[in-house]
Amino acid sequence: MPQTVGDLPSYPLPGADAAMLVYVERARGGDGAAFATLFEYYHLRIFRYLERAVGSPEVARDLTQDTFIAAWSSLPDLQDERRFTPWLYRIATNKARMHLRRARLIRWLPWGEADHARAAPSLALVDPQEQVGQSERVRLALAELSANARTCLLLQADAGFSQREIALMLGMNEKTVSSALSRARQRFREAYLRLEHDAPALKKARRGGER
Amino acid sequence: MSHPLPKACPEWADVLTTLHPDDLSPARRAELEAHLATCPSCSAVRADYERLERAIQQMPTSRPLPAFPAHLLAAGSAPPSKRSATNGSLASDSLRLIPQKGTLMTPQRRRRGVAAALAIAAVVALFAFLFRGFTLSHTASGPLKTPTPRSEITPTAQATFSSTPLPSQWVAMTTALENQPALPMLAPSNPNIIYEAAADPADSGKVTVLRRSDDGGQTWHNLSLPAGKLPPVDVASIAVSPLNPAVVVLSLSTFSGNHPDVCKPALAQSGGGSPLIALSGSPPCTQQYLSTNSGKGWSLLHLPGNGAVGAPQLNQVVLPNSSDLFRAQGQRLYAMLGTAVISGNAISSSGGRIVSSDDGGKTWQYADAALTASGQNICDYRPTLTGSTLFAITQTGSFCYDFLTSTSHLWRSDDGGASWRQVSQFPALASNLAVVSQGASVPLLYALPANPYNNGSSAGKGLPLFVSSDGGKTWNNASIQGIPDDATQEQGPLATFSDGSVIAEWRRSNGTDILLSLSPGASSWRLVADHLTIGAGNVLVTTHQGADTLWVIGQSSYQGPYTVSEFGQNK
Repeated sequence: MPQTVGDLPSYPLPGADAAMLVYVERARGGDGAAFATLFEYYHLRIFRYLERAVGSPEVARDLTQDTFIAAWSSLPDLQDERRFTPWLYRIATNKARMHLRRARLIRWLPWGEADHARAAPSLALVDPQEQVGQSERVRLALAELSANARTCLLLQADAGFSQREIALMLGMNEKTVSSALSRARQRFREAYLRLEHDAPALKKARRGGER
Repeated sequence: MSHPLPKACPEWADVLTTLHPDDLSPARRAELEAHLATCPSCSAVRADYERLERAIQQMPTSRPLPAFPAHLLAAGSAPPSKRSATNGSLASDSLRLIPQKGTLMTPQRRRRGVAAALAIAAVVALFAFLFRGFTLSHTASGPLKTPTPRSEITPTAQATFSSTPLPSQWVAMTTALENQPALPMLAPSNPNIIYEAAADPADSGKVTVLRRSDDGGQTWHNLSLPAGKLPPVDVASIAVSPLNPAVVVLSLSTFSGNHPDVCKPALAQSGGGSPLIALSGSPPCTQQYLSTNSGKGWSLLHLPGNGAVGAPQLNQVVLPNSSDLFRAQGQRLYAMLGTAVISGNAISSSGGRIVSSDDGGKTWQYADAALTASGQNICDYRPTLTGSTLFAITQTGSFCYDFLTSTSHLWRSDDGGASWRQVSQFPALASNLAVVSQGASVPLLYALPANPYNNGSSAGKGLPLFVSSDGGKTWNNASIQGIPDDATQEQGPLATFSDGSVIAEWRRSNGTDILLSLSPGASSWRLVADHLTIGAGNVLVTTHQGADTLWVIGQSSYQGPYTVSEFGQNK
C-alpha cells in the first residue's frame, strides 16, 4: 500500500533518493548498517550545503557530523520516510543557524552576519595578488546575506527545493519563504555584480598602494 | 552602487527571481516568458539570476568527512527506536569520530580538538603509508611468485612508479563543457576517440551539445543531436562499442518525479500501489539512440524489452557511466539493461537483463532467459574475452544490493547465455564481477563484497575482495596487504590490466583517492595511481603494443549536473 502522506506534497524523489527509502525505514528501526548506507549516500550534498552556508570546510565537516548524529538519534520521530531528504536538510539548516548565531556572539567564525555597510570588509581577506574568481565572488556575496536569506537561497539554488518544500522544512509560511527568497536573490545579485565590477579596479588600486 | 545594473520592471521584479519549476504556475510562467520576449531589461536581469544560480552550483566543494565511523555505530549504540530518553544522548555521543574527553568542552575547544586530532592522524597516516610504500617495493621485487612487476613503489616523499612518475596532478583533458549529464566516454578500442555531451543546466535540461574528439581531446567536432523532441535529462550515459569506435549508444533518462509530463505512461501502467517513480527503462522515461557512424546520424535503439543500457543496477542508476557498458566476446556484444520501479516503499527490480547483439549493436536479444526464469536478480555479469562463457552474479531479495537480506550466487553459461547453471554461493553478499581470462586456463574471478559497511566489523579498508581461481566454485578473501591503514574502500574491481591484475579504488584520510592493483598470486596490493582528488568513478585500461595505459575519468559528484574535473591518463 502506498504510504499516506496526509496534506504534505508528494515530494518528487529523484530516483536514487527513492532507492534510499528502504534504508530510511530500516535505519528508523535501529539498523546501523542501513544508516551507514544513508550517510554514504547523503553526506556529500549535506556537506556541500553546509560549506556554502557557513563558509568554512572545517566547520561544515563538523556540522555534517553533528547533523547525522542528530538524524540517527531522532530518526524514530520521522513520520514519513519519504520526507527524509528535506528532514535531513532541516536538521542541517538548524545546525548551521545555531552555529552562525553562536558565532556572531563569540566572533569565532570565517564569516559572521554581514550587517555591515557595502564596503564589504570581508574583501580584505582576499589576497590582492589573487584573482577574485567566480567562486570567491559567490562566497563573498553569500557572506553579505543574512543567515536566513542565505539558507533559503542555498536550499533552493544548491539543494533544489521548491518554495513550498522549504516552507514545510523550516516551519515557515510559504509567502514568507517566497519573499525571503526573492530578496535573497536580489541582494545576492547586487553583491555579486558589484564584486564582479569592482574587482579589477580594486586589484589595481591595491597594487598601486603597495609601491 | 557606482555602476548601473539592468533594472527589472517593478511589477516583474519578484517573479523574475522565481527560478524553481514548481514555484510558478504554468500560466504565470507563460506570462513571464511573453514579457521577457519584449523586455530586454527584464531579460538581462533574469539571465543574471540564472547565471548566478549556476555560479552557486559550480562553486567547488571541499572534501567532506572521509567516511562514516561505522565501527562506532556497530560498537555501542542501541537502535534509536529502542533508546530511552536517558541513554539517547550517550549513544549519539558515542557516534562521534573523535571521542570527547570532557563533558564541559566548549564548541570551539571541541572543534579545535577535532582539527588537531585529525591533523595528527593525517601525519601518522602519511608516515604509515610512506613506510608501507617502502615495504611494498621490497615485497614486489622479492622472491614471491609474482609476475614481473611493471612498476614498483619507491620510498620518496611522493610514491612514484619506477617506469613513469605517477601523476601528482591529474590534468583535465575535457574542461570546456559544463553541465555534463554523462561522463565523457573513450572508445575502448581507440582511446583517442572521445564522446561527450553537455546539457542545459536547468532541471528540465536537454542535451545541447554532443561532440567527438578523434585526437584525445585536443580538437572537437560537434555532432548532430538525435532528431525529434529530446526528453529532459536527469542522467545520461554514452556507451561506445569496444569493437568499433563508430558504434555509440546515447541514453537519456529522466525521473517521473521530476518530469511527470514525460513519464506519465510509466506511472499509469504499473497498477497496484502507486509508483513514485520509474527509474529507468519504462519508455518514454528513457530514450536511447544508436549511431553506427561515429555520431553523425542517430536512430532509436531497438531492444527486446524495457530497460536502459547503462543502468544495469540500482546504484548505477545514479552512476550510469562505465567504460564497459558494452562488453565484447569475439565479435559479439553484450550489454545489461536496467529496470527498476519504486512502488510505495518497495523497490521492484529484476536487477538487469543481459542482452547480446551479433550485428554490431543494431539488434539485440536476451541472453539470460533461463536465468531470470529462476527468479534471480542479475546484478552483474561478465563474458570471457573469447569463447562463449558468461558469468553472472545474482542476488535473491527484493533487488540487487539489498545489503541486508540477500544472498549472492555465481552462475555460468557456456553457450552464450542459452543455458545457465549455478556454480556457487558467495560467502557474503557480492557484486561487481571481474573475470580475468588467461589463455585456455580456468579464468580467475574477482568480486566485491557488496557493502563495506555491511558487517559493522570492517575496518576502514572494507572487506577483502573475493577471489576464485577455480572458475568460481570456491571463493577466498584476496589479500589486504598493501592497503594503507587510513584507506576506506570506494569501489572495485574496476578494471584489469593485461597481466591479470585487478584494479580497485580507496579513499585516503586526506580525502584523495588512490587506485591499487593486485596481481594474480601476489600477496600485496600495489599503488598505480594516487592524488586523485575526486572519486575516479570510472577507469579504463587500454593496451597498445603490449603496454597498458590506465585512464581515469572522474567526476566531482555522483549527482547531476555532472562536472568532469579530472580526466587523464597514466601510462
